[in-house]
Amino acid sequence: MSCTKEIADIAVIGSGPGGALTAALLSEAGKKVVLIDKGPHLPLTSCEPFTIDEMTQKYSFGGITVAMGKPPVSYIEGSSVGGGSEVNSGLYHRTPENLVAKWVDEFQIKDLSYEDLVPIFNKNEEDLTISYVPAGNLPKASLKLHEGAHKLGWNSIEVPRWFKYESDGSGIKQSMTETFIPRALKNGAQLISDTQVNKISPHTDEWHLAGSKKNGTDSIPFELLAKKIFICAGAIATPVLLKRSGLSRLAGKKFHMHPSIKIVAKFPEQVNHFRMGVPVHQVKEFSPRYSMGCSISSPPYLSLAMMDVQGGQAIVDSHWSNMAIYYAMTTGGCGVINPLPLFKAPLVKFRFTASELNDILDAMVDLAKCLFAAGATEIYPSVQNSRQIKNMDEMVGLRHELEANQLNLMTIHLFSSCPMGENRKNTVVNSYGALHDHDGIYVNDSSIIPTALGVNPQGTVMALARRNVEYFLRGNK
Amino acid sequence: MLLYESTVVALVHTLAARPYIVNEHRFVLCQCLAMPDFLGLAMRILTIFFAVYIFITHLMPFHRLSLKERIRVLARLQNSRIAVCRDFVRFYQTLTLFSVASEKDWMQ
Amino acid sequence: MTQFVDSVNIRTAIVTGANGWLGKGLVHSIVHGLDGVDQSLNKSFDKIRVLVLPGEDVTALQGISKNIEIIRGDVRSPSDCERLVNGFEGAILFHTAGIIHPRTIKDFYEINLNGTLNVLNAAKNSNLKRAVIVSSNSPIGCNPVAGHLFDEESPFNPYMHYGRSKMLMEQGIIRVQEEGMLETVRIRAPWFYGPFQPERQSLFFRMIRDGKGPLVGDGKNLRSMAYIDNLTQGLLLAASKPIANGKVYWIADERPYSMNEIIDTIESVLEVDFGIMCAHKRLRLPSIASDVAWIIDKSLQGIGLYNQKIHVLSEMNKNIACTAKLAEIELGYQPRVDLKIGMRRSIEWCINNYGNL
Repeated sequence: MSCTKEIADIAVIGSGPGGALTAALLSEAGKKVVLIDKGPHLPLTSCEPFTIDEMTQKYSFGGITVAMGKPPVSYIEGSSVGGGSEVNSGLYHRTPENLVAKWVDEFQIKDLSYEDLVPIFNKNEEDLTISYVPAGNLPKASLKLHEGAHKLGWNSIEVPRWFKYESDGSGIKQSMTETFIPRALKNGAQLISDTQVNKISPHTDEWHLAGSKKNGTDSIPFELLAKKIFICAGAIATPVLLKRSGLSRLAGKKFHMHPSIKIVAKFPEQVNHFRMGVPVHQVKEFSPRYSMGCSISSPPYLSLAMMDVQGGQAIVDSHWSNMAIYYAMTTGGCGVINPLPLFKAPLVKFRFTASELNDILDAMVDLAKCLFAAGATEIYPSVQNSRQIKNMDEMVGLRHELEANQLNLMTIHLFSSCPMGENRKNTVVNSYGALHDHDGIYVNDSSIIPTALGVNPQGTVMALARRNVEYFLRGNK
Repeated sequence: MLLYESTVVALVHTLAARPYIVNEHRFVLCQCLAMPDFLGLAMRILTIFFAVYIFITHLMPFHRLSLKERIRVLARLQNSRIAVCRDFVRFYQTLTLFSVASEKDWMQ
Repeated sequence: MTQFVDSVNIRTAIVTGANGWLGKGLVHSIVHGLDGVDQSLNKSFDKIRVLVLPGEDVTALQGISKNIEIIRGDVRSPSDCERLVNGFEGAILFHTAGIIHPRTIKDFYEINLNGTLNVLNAAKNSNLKRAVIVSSNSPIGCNPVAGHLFDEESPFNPYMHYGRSKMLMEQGIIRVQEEGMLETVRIRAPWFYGPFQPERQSLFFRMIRDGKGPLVGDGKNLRSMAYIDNLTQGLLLAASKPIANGKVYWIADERPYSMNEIIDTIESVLEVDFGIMCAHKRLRLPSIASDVAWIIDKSLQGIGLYNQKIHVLSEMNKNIACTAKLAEIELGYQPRVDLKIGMRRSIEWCINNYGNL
């Protein structure tokens, strides 16, 4: 048995967008940083994106993670070094301006305004090379949604990505392993991968981190002392760690997601091809209630999306290049995260009110409307016992037949399990991410986002993370 | 091969809807190991329970039934009023489908 | 194509087990070439040197070619192995010697395991270029379900002692490969058929003619088979392709066949191609007969005994099927002969060599 026992200035647990940025800025400021991640350190190019290889290499629990409920919601988290940024589509949004004011009010967040965040957004956008797809390379399936929205007079936008594009539309996603991880390492941060921290406890003047490090098929104990800790393990793992360590009663008592419903659409012309590229258009007409976009539509994903359609596989076999998957992303529902005794994985549950379920059904109907306006000849909603839908009358008919547990919901956006603010009734950390009632522990990932965003969250995660680290570096708690 | 693994291979072959499988079952077995531990344990127990139940009712293990009989068994479970039966098949069907679709040569 | 030359620029193939079924087939393929394959594969050797057990009749071998150099010896003897390969630096060794139906269990390990290690050791010491070793499906066991095919990544799961001896043999080969002094390629061959078969094969054809074609269970269990020329093609490719170094390949006909199909095909060939009327019946046994035979076989082998009939019966309801896709992709392997043509040639050869059925 061997273990590591060192004292770091700052331990950062988790190397996703929050943790990687935190580690980079702290190490650039001269701090001795140890960055710990439970996953392997793999390059972005270790596998093709959105493939079975990526699922087995980089998805938490192999991608088989589900929030139990009626209906359940499948979710995906990245679990290699770089976290979600290694596996997501890279779509970038600033925090919606109206939400910031709402948070300040409801959660009593000090010194936060949209204007304060603008220079932070600018800096992150520069560091991540936020860019639009070069002209002439927009994925056809994505453009179809945009056309449909345009025909209906709905607001639809092209969303930039953190991506370094070549002129032909190819390029490199600016994930954490391409950007902030190398920056952290260059400035002396130590990266310890394949290491899970299971408990944090006070140890005289420091904090003691205990966990295990993978060693082939075995694991060996891991220990570290650190003066300060930034927990950036993600919306599920961060509250679990806090709860297991007895450091917060409210962590994980509530969390939010973007439960999304999908529809497969078939068009008379080709809209899809191998390595099509990430779709970038989003229909924002109904934001913040719901927004719509186009999903990764490779043949294996189409096969999965058509699983509940009788004869669906034969349709995909013959027509996949005329088909694509679209989603409607909602913001409702509320969940809870509970560590389980004797098991490593937590139990995650999620509930919807009747009105929130109605929002999902409405979103699905509006998505269908947009797709038919775009010229789709038939659509297949991703629900159990699905069938071909050829027009809006049939779609409305299906909507009224559907029961909650028929919906196949999924998401890659999870947050709000440790909200920030000064309101002690509904926050876990203060206005700058410092854990209430304990000195020297901070949370700096999507957990601190107080409510569902309605937009892809990585931009907000990194903006709040930079804000909080800059505050920390100014010598504040 | 142990009862659990043989049953999973047979489930994958039945759900793959193709005459032969070679390595499609490996992804499924791999995912069963990777999934959250309490879910993985529940799934393993359920799978073994299924295997034993089929052995008792058919006097033969599931993996030794003919393809036609295996399809019939799973179709009955998929149409069952008991949600856990439907979810059991759906779990393996989802993983199998993704595995088969990922192996497929879509150029042809 | 890589040229394998010994120290005097002659390309030499050294074959153990040459007097066996597969050995004779391989020698024939080397001497006379194979139809329908890349011509660079044919005539790849100038000289053949074979190992034959002392006292065995070599008429058949000499019938294939008068220019075969015959060495008398036994793979169980390290000195015999050394004598076989000494002075043939750069030659290719084809190790087909092995025992499938022994007198005692001990024979499995003495011949299949120790014999192989002796031969490889000698080949290493005499600086041969590469050894192509014939393994079996047995180290991998039986498919868990009809329709599952083994590939090169399927784990070891040996079937009885034969399988275990071949598994240990393969593990020994891997260790030799890791030493880096001799290239090795393992070829896993399932049930093979074709010319040069022993006389007992005629019994199988006679049983089918007489309506006693044995079927255990519903006959839908799948078996991979390898027509002998397909198998020898695989062996020759494994000898010549650089990519094959250190690898293992399954070599078999294009697809597996059900037991029903195997017996139906033989029956059809007997009638249509040879005018031999068949009784169109089957000797059907319930699946449990194989299961009981399995228990007896396992018990007998557990105390060191072996009974061929019980062992064969135990396998009859099993699925033993593989895919040769990797060999197709990496070696350019193309099975040229299917079951119908292969059985036609087998029966023809049986009649020509052993008389009417």
